[in-house]
Amino acid sequence: MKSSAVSGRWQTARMVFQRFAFATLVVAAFALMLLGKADTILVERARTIVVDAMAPVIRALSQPAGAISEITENVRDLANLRAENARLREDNEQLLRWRDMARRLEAENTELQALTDYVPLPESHSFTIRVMGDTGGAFAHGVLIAAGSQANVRKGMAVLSGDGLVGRVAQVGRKASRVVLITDITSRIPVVVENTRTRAILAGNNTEKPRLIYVPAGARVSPGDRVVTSGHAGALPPGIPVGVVSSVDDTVIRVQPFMDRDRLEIVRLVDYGLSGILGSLDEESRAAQAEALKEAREKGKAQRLKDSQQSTVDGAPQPQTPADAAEP
Amino acid sequence: MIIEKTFRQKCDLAIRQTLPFLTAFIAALLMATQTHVPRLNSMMPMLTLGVVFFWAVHRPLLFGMGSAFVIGLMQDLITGVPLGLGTFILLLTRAGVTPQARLFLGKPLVVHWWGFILLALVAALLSWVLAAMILGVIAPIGQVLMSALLGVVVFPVVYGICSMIERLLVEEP
Repeated sequence: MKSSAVSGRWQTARMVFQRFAFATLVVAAFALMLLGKADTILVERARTIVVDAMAPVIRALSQPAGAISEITENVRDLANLRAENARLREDNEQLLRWRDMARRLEAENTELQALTDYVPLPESHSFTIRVMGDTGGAFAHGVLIAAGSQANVRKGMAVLSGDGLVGRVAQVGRKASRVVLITDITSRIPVVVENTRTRAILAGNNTEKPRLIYVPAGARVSPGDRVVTSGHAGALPPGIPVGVVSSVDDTVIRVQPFMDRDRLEIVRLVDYGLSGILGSLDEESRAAQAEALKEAREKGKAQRLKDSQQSTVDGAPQPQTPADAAEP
Repeated sequence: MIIEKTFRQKCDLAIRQTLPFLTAFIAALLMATQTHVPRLNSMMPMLTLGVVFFWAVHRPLLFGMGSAFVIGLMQDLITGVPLGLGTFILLLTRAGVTPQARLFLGKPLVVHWWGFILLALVAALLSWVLAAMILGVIAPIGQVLMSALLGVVVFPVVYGICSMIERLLVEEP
């Protein structure tokens, strides 16, 4: 008797749910969208857990495509062997000349550093990891790598390929991590144009060619210029190759990254010991960083005030610098 | 005469009935794999949409709205796209396609294909608008449309695989 009452109530609840299932689930989907905006830490944790759990399956599913790609690559390499050999000989000759110059410059640099009591950047350590998945499609550019906190992967680490900067570690699970590529719409990397030392921010836009933004007015940037990291914001050390300027028009400067997303198989994770803008910090470090940021802001404000007074005197406005733009 | 099913038969039936969900689950995981095909990773074909469309037409009882919600949520979490985006699109697909199932049932692949072309276009535009609203920036629409187009191109394969699986589903509760 009692069990039939319970089962009746269960059936009624089920019917009510079925009737309102669509409305309930639509509301839940919108709630998820809001949650994704409101509580990024919780969502990040959920993403990490799911990716960690699915990592072995994704790795297994990626293997056939990897094997096919390897075979086609081998066949292509065999066909191009002679031309490749000639190119490598030429490269080798050129590199030997560069090596001699680098040695000379290194010696000179060491001498100058000793003379000026230069404080070098912290030493880096790196390790290589296999890419196991490519996620996101049209709305996000990222890859999954087959290593997590167990292999000492940390949030904020720089990810490099043989060609240049790939992106940064954004989420770390136990066995897998997610890397946000420099082409992702949320990616912002402080860079400089190598030969003119023009500062800018490389802004991803979910296309193969990210844009340079906050370029100072009157800066000379031409197609073919190399773009490297500037080291500002403490996220990445200076000098990591990023790409070359591919096109310049009145409003947009586009950069062709050195990294090739479709050929990413093995990447190098580098820990430069910089906490940067993404690093996981404890409370004490957060407070210290907030204090430093406040101080820097005040200094910046005072400097800008001084500059504006100066420009009023000179009669010419000062261009906006990338450091100003990057300041939150 | 009522024939009582054995435990093994019950297990077999239960496993078969989870196949629609499993195919959608595998499609969601496939969308996160690395293909090594130039430019394909930034415009991955809408595989899950094809799978959800098929089951919404052919076996709606085995692939309910809850399943569409779970698959969408999992896909959002794995691929790193804004949370709730895929969930909403797949949920809408399941809810919108099932009432129109009679237009497709018993019809050849071409009819399904036309239906899917329309669905993929609507899903691409809707997800583009939603992504712009959630992210606050406008993603390039070309890639979204290419992703839909590739989904349309691979749809016959998805249809073929799902049809084979459907034949395994001997009975539906």
